[in-house]
Amino acid sequence: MTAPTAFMQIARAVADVFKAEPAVSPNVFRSRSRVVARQMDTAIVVYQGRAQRTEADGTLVPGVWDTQLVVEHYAREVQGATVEDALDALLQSAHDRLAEDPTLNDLVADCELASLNWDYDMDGEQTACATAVYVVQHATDHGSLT
Amino acid sequence: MSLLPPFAAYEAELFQATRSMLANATVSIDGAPDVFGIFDAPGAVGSVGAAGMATTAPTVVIATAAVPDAPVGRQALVNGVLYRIADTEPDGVHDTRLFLDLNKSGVLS
Repeated sequence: MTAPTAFMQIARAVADVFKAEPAVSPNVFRSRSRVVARQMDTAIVVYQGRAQRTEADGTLVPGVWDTQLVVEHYAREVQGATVEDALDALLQSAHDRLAEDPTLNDLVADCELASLNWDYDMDGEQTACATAVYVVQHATDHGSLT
Repeated sequence: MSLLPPFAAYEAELFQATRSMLANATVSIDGAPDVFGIFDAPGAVGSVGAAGMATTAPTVVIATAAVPDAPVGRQALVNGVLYRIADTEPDGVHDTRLFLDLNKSGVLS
């Protein structure tokens, strides 16, 4: 089996950061496609967005990337906390955890929050999702994805 | 003596009997005395994020006479579980379906 690409390594590293004890949420997934189960009060899904090679003076720099990393934070209303409070606490915890080491143990140069988006829905139970997009600056070997 | 014409009287009896036969819940709105209701909570999906979150869409059918004025936003205790009334759908005759939101936080919005 070939070595994972730098992009997959980054997504895995971020998921591992969230899973490290004490876990930010007991439910951290990579590229989840099924709905978040009812038994899960919170969940985090991490996946790669768009990767773009860095430009300098109008020229693409070999092997230097800005890669979007998408982090979806899911929460539902729980005993004693509104959905807004539950989601806000999850988002804050996850961001704080990532900010502790934005180099992901020297895997990348930096990891910076670029945008946030919130969804709320109520269909019998209140559910919500905050989607954070981080831009990760990192390098690959010239002509390679690793 | 009922002023209802015969058919309406029979219909009212039928609805009441149906509710009694099928009742699976006791319902109290804002602390009012319990009434019988027909409760269900089918699965649903909250449209949030790319994946969505599994939820339920609970409703309960009770006698329209037991529904207070301006019911939306009031608390409903159904089988001991606290909900908010999100919407109502009267059948125009005897019964009203209450659309419920689970109120785990205990906070009324």
